[in-house]
Amino acid sequence: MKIYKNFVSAALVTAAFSLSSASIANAGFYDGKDVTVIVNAGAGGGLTRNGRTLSTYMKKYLGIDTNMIIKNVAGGGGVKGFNFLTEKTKANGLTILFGSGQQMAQLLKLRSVRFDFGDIAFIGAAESNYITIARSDYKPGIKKASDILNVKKMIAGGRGTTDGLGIWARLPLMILGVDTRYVTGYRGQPKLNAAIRSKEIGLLATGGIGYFAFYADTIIKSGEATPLYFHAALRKDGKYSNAGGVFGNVKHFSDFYKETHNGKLPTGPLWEAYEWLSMYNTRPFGMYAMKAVGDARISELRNALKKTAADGAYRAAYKKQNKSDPQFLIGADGEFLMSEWKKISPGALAGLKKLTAKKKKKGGKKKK
Amino acid sequence: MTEALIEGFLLVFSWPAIGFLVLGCFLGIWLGAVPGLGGIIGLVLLLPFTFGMDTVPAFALLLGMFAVTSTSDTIASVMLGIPGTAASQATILDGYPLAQQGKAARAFGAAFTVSALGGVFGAIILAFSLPLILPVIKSFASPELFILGLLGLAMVGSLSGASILKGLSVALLGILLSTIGYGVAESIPRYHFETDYLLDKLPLIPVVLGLFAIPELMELAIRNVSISRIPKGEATDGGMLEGVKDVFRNWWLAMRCAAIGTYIGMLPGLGAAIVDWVAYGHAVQSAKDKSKFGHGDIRGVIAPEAANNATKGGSLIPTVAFGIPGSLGTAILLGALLIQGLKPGPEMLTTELHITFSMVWTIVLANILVAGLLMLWSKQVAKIAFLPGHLIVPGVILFVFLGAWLGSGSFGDWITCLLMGIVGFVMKRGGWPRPPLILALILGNIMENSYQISMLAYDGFGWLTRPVVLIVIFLIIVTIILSARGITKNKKSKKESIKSQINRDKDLDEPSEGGAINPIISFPFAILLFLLFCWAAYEADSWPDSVREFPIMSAVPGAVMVFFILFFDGKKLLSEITFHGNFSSALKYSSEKAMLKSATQFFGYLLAMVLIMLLLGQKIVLPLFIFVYLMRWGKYNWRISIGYALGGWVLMVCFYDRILDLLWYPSWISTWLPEILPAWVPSWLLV
Repeated sequence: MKIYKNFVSAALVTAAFSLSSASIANAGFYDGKDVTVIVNAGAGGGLTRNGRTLSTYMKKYLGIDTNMIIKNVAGGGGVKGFNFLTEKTKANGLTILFGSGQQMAQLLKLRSVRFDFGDIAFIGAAESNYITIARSDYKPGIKKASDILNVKKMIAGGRGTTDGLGIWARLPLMILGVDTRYVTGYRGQPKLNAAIRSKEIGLLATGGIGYFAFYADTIIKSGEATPLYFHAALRKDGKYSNAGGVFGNVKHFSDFYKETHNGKLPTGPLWEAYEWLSMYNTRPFGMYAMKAVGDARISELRNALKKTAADGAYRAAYKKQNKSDPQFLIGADGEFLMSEWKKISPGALAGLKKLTAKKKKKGGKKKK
Repeated sequence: MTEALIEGFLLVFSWPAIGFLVLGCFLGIWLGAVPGLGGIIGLVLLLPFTFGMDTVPAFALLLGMFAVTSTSDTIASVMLGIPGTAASQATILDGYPLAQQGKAARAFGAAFTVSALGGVFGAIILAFSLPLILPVIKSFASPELFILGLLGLAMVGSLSGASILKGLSVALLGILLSTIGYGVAESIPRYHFETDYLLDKLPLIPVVLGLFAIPELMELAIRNVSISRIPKGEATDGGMLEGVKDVFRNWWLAMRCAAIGTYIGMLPGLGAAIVDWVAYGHAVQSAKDKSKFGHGDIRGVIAPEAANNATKGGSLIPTVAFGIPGSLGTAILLGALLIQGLKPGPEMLTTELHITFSMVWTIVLANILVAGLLMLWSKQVAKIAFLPGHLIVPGVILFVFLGAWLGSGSFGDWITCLLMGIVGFVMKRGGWPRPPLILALILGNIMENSYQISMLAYDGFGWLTRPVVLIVIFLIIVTIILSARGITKNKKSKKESIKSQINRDKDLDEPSEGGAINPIISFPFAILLFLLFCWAAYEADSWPDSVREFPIMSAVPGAVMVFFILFFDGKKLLSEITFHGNFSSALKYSSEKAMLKSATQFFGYLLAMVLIMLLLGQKIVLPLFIFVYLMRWGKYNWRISIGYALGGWVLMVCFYDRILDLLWYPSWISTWLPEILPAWVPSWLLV
């Protein structure tokens, strides 16, 4: 009996040991771990919603019992999130960032930027699109897109001088030569929504998500506002993505310009800046990690994102939220976003500087 | 409409919606009662769980939780003098003195009854206001928000207690603090001392917790008294039923404040954070006898509690109807709405009206359910008021510092909390009212933003002629006249007031907000404030107009007012020195009166905790603080101390770590401890 008991015990111990060894051998780095996903925007916005949706599906491709936790680090137009990633987190692959890239912030050497994009690895990013809309009753009346050219002075609204919404509102007007008073200080789409409804501003830009959430079925449908043109991601082959198809008859800004300017495309620094921004400022749903986490971790993250991007359920959830299919650039396909942004033409740089230049105002005495 | 109303009602009662509603209510009670948590954290926490749920159960869970946090937050406000959430800040002004008088149950009775009534009444007003909402929303642009903020500041007179000059100076300090971080019009950082933490703005939660919680906890620690200064059994008129009766005695005030809550809640940008202050100010201004406010006047509990529950319904409608959220909470709810595939717009008031009504019903039912539950429990909760202070202090310190950490998850939150604790103590002991600072800190940000937008959008001061702006300017003038009349009346009956105040304060050993007279503390604080205002104005001088306008607008008048305070306090200081014979005797007397020595020791404990945290991290240092405090300060035995500390640790690990997924401070030990821990010990237990 004793021998029998010993035999059973030995067998159980051996089996347990074999099982645990096997599981160790097959265990992935992310199994059972918590991955913190820094979202460089506020808790209630579209970026966070997209980050949450992506995390919900991606965690199962990352590991067994992996948990992905969203942490919002908003501020400075997304700069603060990257500062946080590079300064406050360990490069162990357990913290990644989901949000908008900050190539422009680094290029313009904004004083809040303390990270170097060279230290950051690209996991993947989805394209997005923006649309500009205007109040239909704005003098002398904007019933169709080309009426914008008859406006003498447009009041446009946005968050600040370097954020996406402000850029897509102002830059096209500057290219078109429409005199514009740009009102800053609107913290997010809901504030802009209130402002255009109360006629405080006449024009705004919004991402595709915001357009369908707030405007398409309300003030656009009722005729209170008119969509003017949309802006899409410029791909490496020099072509714009066709994501703008979701806006129906609305034209891409380049097509709108050609249509109203005898078939010619615009030229000059502002247009070069427009093209540069279409390349680097149209992929807000990007995923980044510190390069120092190592190639193995980066590769695992890229693989998980690739599988998620192909997951039918995720694609359906994405489409439900954003009204378009996800168009991801993953891994090496998107590396150019991290390496080529510095190769900006002098004209484009001059255009960007003109766009983000601060208006000279009274005050500001220099201290001795 | 009736059909939609009934259908909405039935939807909420269908399974599993009703189950999720009850679950949400329980979560809301907990999140509201713990200082620093609140509905926003609850929404962020619950949102991912609603991804796969149907619309009505999802909103039953989210709204059930969100609607009731402003009911249960009364517990911390009344029992500890700490705002449970941002919506219950004004409740502490009279709620806490009631608890000190042994009348916590009465305050609860009134607060919970009026919370339920406010929530229901707010929802009814809302249902009848639906046709009016679009014109209201459209007529409120940035100029109206700015001018409404100014009206809110005009209420400072009602919140300043004994000294209106000090109240106004403190309000200007609040506005100055609100300008920390990037300017609105240009990205020029202000007063940020080269730190990332201050680049955006000063987070509200650490400021509120530091300013109100730490001074009260310090009092409990130093005196080792219970919250109630009156022994159990000796308190009269303190029953819960009495509180319920109070509400019906003041039903007209409750209705007015519920209406204030609903309509202010509707206005995007103002939101719930100021509604309690506005309602409190209204209660003071409309009262014939104002003398008891700040000393435990039940009307000071009824007004903010009626308003803060009503505001939840108010802010919901513009959110669902136009996608314009009235507050951060409703902004997150808007996200939930979009995730559910619903689009804010006219459909929510037409084809999807039953869904909208199901949300309104959820708010109504949640308010009634939770008010009932809390009524049942309030007798037990009120007993905490009679516990020894030493048992309360360490546990609440844990909640306060973790609540502050939730501000932005930065070490700066702890520093802010501690610094504001010191400021709060000095203000309390020196007779400087604290509420105007918070009100101005909240309003300052909204006002500067609205002002800058107005100046840009309307190309100057053209917005001043807008009809709503003119109406609000008229209301501001009326408010100032009423406040001025109040001051004149006060002067007439000054002798009598001082006498009665001294008697009351003597009974409680606790002066009212801004009522303490201690020039030895007040005078140096005034000097510091004067220097601060002067420095802030000098610093701002080099910025462009749009960036420096608000700092200058607060710093220059602030310096002038504090100059006058220095003059008056200087006179009091001289008479104090004359009375005591010499400066050192006067200093000794004032130090003893303000318990400066013990206060310094207490702050020393907190400072040591904050510094040790850099090495050991929060999960070790907070239980360690509990243990050391109970052993050394409270003189409890090691069994109780260890048990209490372990309880705190379990709470941190289970709730804040595992459920809230808090990102902890990367302490020194977190860099090496996980590497040496055995594989079977998860590192999240310690770092």
